[in-house]
Amino acid sequence: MIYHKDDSFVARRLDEELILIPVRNKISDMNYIYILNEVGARIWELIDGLRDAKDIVRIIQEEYEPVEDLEADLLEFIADLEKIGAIRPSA
Amino acid sequence: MRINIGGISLLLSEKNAKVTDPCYQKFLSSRHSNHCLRFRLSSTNYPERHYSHRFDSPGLWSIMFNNNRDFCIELRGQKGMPVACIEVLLDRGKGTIYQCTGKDSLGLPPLPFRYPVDEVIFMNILSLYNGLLLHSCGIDDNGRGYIFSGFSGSGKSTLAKQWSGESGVRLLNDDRVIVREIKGSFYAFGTPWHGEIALCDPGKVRLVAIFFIKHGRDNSVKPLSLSEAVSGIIARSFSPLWDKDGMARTLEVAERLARKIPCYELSFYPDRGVIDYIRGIEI
Amino acid sequence: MKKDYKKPSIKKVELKPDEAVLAGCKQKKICKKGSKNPGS
Repeated sequence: MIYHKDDSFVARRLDEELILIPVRNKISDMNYIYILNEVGARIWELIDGLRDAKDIVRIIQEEYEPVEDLEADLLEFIADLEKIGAIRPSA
Repeated sequence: MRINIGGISLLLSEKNAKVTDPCYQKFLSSRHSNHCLRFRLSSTNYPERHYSHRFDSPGLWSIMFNNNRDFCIELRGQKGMPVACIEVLLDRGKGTIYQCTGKDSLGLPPLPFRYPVDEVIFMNILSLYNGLLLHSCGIDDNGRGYIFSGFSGSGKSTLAKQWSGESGVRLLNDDRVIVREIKGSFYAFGTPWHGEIALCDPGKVRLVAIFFIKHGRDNSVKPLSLSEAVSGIIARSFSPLWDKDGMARTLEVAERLARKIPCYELSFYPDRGVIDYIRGIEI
Repeated sequence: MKKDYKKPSIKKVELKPDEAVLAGCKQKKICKKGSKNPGS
């Protein structure tokens, strides 16, 4: 599955972390802002509407020390990003 | 009539305009400011310009805006009917007030110096002047600026009352403080938009620390990480949450602020001991 | 050299949008009688 970033979010790197602010025109949708940790921020950067989840897993495996549940973690994280509306499946 | 808040002036070209609120009167200024928005009253109806975005607050106002810096605030009365439209063309430094009802708002302050219009204007423009508006109490302690920021009920006015009795201390405001970066330093400015304590000061003080406050059984501080500080600033600011460019700029200001000014979580017990505690922190 | 891995996470920071967008009425003249003033 390929995802792209939703363009209603403002994102900014804060050293290793990343802050995401949803921009909304209804007050009922303005409840949270989000902080991604280092690995989460890197995954966010890699989501570009061209790479699929397998590509992103491979890149993270190259960049980080090996861990057993990496693919499961990544898929769970991507699902969480989709739940908050920060990413959407690309057509 | 010119009012200067946070180093930014709003000028109303109306000979008979006056403000009677004693807090607002402190912000009247005759000095020219480099940052000035000139307003005039229009005798015609609002020309209904097209704006691509609209945000409706659940309160008395809505805002319409484009991808440039122009915006229009629609102010509603108690019964929900539009009372006025206040159009701001920022790059031209001017604004126009269109009265919708044709009746004078007897007893109310002249637009744009009326709640919540001037605050909404500042919410929209401050990021362009390297600033933001924080839900906070601002204290000038003998030249050292402290901001105590928090949501309603967190203790801003309580802390303001504790500080107010101290020698050499100036209360800038117990509820809304403007923070702006000027020539590489951050300053806290008083505003006329006070809370329970009807005192305010148009002055500024160089900022030394920001505290996100909550009530506690005793006094303690915890230094915050960059992301905790930035998210805390955004959560406790009055920012244009409906405008992507405005939020991107506000976030940039918040990051610069959090990198330059130490930010802490402060749990405090509401007596005079908190003042000695704050003064004793090695910032 | 590879970096230390930590499970990717999203932390939620709560906003109070009613306060942030001045939805409350601070001035009694404007508010209806008896209503709350949540603006401060």
